[in-house]
Amino acid sequence: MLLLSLAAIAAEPSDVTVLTPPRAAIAHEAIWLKVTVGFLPRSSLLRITTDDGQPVGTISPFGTTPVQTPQDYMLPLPKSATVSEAVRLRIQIQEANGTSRTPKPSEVLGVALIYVSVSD
Amino acid sequence: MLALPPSDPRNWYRYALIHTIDCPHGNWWFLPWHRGYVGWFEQICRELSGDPDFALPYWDWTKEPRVPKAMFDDVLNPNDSAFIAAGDAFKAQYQDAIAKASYWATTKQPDGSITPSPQYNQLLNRSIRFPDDLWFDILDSPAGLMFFNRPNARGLSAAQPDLTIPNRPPDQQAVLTAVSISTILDALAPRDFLSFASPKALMHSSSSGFSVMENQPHNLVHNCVGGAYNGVGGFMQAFMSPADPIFYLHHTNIDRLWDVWTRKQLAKSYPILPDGYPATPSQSPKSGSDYVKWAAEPFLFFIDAKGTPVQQSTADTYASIGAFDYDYSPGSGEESIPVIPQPPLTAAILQKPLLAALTIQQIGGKSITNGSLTVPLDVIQQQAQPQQPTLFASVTVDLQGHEDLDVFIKRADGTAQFVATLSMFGHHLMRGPVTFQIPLSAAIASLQAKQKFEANPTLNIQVVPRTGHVHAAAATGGTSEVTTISLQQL
Repeated sequence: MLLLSLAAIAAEPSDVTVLTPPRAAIAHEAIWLKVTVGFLPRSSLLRITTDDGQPVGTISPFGTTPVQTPQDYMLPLPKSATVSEAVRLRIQIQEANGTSRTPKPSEVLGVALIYVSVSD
Repeated sequence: MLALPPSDPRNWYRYALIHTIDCPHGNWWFLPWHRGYVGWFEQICRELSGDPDFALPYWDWTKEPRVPKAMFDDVLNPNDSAFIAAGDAFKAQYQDAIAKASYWATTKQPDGSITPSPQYNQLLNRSIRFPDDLWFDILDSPAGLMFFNRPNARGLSAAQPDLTIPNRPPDQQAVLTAVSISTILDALAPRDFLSFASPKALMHSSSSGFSVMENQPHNLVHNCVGGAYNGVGGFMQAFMSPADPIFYLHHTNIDRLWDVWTRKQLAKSYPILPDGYPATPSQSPKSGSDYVKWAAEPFLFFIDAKGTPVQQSTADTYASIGAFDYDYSPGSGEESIPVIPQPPLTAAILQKPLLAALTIQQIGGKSITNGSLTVPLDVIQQQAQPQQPTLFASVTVDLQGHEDLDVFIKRADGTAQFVATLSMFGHHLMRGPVTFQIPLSAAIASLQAKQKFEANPTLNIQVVPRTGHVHAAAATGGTSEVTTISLQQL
């Protein structure tokens, strides 16, 4: 993984997070998402989509323990998720009972774009 | 294994408990540890079955996104009557054997202090101080149980074996997405071990982050089969997951994909292990390298086919399939391997990192570090070409707080080409030396668009504290100091 070079995080109107990559990906490089997650209850799903509903990925910790340190989860970001040089995301917790809600600050600690060196 | 007494470490549940107390997740030992765990399991199966050719199958969930039908037959189904029906019965049968297990050993020193065995030390790192801690985690933890009573030992059934989440529309079927060929190819795409295999951590009991391979197909299949999404429950959602036989088919597929990634890397002449690994068996690993740290991590709980502790068991033991001597028939993801192996690069290669001469300027109260180095012209020019190693700057900063730093390359006209911002993220230790690796390809492409490089150009790299981005922690510390800047190819 290539390192940090990130991106202003701007919280747009309500539940939309906007990330701006400082540059486009070059050859053999992909822009992925790094989500830093705190404690998530077992069975919950952290669902990330673009603001127009395109799925980006779902995080579901395995083998939760009472104490969870913050952990980074990498998710591939579809190229189509970048529109007008910005990535606009909605992040939702889906509870085991099927309801969705906005994550608490202790559940999602950060979202960033990272550059990953990839093969063709 | 189910028929063996609890005192035999090869007993089915005793072997599952090795995973419970020693499994790494969310770190760069995830793959080798599970290769060892599943590899030794196969050896035990050969020994106990008397079949030296016994081989574990793999479950290619990309091709078959449902629990294979055979896994609901007899003892392949954890709800079969051969398995223990409930947690209290499990404790009653096993607490004596667990209490007598060798891993609790301590030595009393002449001064009266107690020295834990290496195994016990690793248990203490997981806050398992004595058997009751372990039983609490398995049977009483408010974070969720590890033992699942029949008939809820597996979350999916023969009637509903699919990797789907009930009552969710197709675009929210996260498990199907996680095992899709698109996700698998993304997971196989990284060119470096850490991005493929999950990031570094201090020890294999701690977690720092999850690669796509670990957090998508690995985690979501575990949780789905373990009934985390349909309310049924099941062993697969927690660290006693090897109590469900499908654990082994799930992890052989993860191991197969590691093998696919390794063959892809070799075919493209990319690295296959953490930085610093020996390219040939006769070479020594690079001293102090990532590989050396990764390779030396001790895995102390494995047992062999006879049930005796495995003596030589560090992470490097499982860097390749090695003595386990198995291979995989082709499955999903093979398409990531080029049909025609690409020859090793013969283009310009830096034989060793180029170290910059550093100078410090004080401008406007900021301490700006300038690193100057001369780079072979062909190394610069090949950055725009496919299949060439990427040029990186390694910047080591002695952090004195949470302070962002901007990195630039100075242009010939005196203006600066932005490269990257170095920023600590999350709850990391904010003091001490940290090395950042920054790809230079994009910045060099921008430079080349504005100036023509001739002969071997000198690159001037500047590291500048970022105004307005000094975090609260920095206020109590001094100024972070750039100690080295170097260039290398990866």
